[in-house]
Amino acid sequence: MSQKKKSNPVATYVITAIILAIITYIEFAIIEYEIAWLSSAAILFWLIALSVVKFIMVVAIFMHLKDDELTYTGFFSSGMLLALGTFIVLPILFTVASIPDPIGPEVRAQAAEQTQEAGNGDLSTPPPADRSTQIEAPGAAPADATVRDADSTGGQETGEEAQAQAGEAPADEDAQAVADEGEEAEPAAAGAIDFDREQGEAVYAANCVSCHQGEGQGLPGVFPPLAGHIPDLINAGGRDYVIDVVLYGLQGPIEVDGQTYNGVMPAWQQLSDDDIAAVVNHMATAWGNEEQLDEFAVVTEEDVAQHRDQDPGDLLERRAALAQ
Amino acid sequence: MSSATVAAAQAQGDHRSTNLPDIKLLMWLFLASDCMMFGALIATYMIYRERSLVGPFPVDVFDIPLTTVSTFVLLMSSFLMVLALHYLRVNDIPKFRLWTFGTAFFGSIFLGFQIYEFRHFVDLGLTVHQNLFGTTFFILTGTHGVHVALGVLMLLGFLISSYLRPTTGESSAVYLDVIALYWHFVDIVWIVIFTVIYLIEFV
Repeated sequence: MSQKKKSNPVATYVITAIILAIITYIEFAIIEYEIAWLSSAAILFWLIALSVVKFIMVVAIFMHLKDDELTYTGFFSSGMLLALGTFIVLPILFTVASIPDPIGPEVRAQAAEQTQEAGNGDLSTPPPADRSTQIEAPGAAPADATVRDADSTGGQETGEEAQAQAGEAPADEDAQAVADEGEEAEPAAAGAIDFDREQGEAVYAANCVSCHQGEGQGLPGVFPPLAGHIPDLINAGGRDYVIDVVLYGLQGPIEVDGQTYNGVMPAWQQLSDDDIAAVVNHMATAWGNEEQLDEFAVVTEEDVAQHRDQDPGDLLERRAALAQ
Repeated sequence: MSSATVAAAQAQGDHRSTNLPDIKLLMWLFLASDCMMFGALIATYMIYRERSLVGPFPVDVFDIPLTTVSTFVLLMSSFLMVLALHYLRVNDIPKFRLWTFGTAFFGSIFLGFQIYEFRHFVDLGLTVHQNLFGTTFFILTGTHGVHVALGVLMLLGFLISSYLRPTTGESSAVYLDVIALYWHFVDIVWIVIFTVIYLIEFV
């Protein structure tokens, strides 16, 4: 309270103001005159530390919290804590990339290997660890099946065949890819494309559903639909376009089913290749989209990695080209 | 509670069982809620940071020397504010009026900088609907600017009322104290914005 301040408070205020001014100048100098011996992490640390010092000085001295009733401090700090919590948790929620893969890649690879062994030994037993869903690809031509029937060496080549169909199969595959392809060798898989639908659903639920809605129906005039629209794009040769839109986002006027949309879709670079592949496969086949597809080569992790390295060009122009 | 204590409490004007001025408690509570609003706005800015697809991007438009000057002006207005409150408490009315006016004046300079900055950004092609950066930046700094403008109006209002009715001592000071709290709060929000929005872009 004011009685406590026997010493001249004006002197305290002046000193505080001078320190605040000096700190502001230091912050400015750190940024303006690039300091070579400070790493960017150190600069970040010092900037945040200095602003916290300024913050506390203003609150404690100018707002008198240092000498005032504790009740005020209690009110203010509870609000600050909630704000700080929001500030920390919200960005984490939006950038966390690991949620869609709760069992981890190692476990997944292991399960896939077991599947391969089981598949080679006893074809009739579906292994319990296999979380993948087999779906029939309408585009798989009978000729393909014939090739596979003739192919007596089994799973691995069939998998490569499926990849070659995707058009962008890298020559050397890592162990994970080989193991994944082993799953495709199951008898029911003749001409089937295979992806982890649960993973696709999880990625969609974590990132896409808030705009494109639960059934991919979008919001007329605000968020374009995916259901019934993704097959149109893919049938027009837009498989690469769809991958690029997820990777790089889209901004500007577009038209879907006679409805105009002029919004912003953010880029999803922070998702892993695996997640993006899964969610594109999910969008292409969910909500009855699968039945409308003429042909669809399953998107693989490698496809996405390749797109990540390429310049997508003008996506709106590419979209206009697809519409024709 | 006996009727005597109620009467005593009422005689004290805005004092209650907490023995703290209601209006000051109210302001702290409001500031706590305002913290959460700015927390959400800044968090939103951070989420969409570096996710704009088209320019102008922050590094294209930010002018750190200019913003440092406006930050300095706002900090110094906080200093004048605390002086004004002190001189009202010790009944030095001319100095109280001078520094209250000084605070409002420095606040207006800050607003001038912000208006200049906004117009400059728009000239560079950054509008609210240009990209995610524009949307989140203008909403955040615009909300802060509205807070500053409200603060200036409250200060000028208090200054004018000091000519119209007797304004002396602790009983009047509590009202200036409340305005001062608001003013310092606007200042600390800007301290955060200056670091988190402006400076970090150039690390």
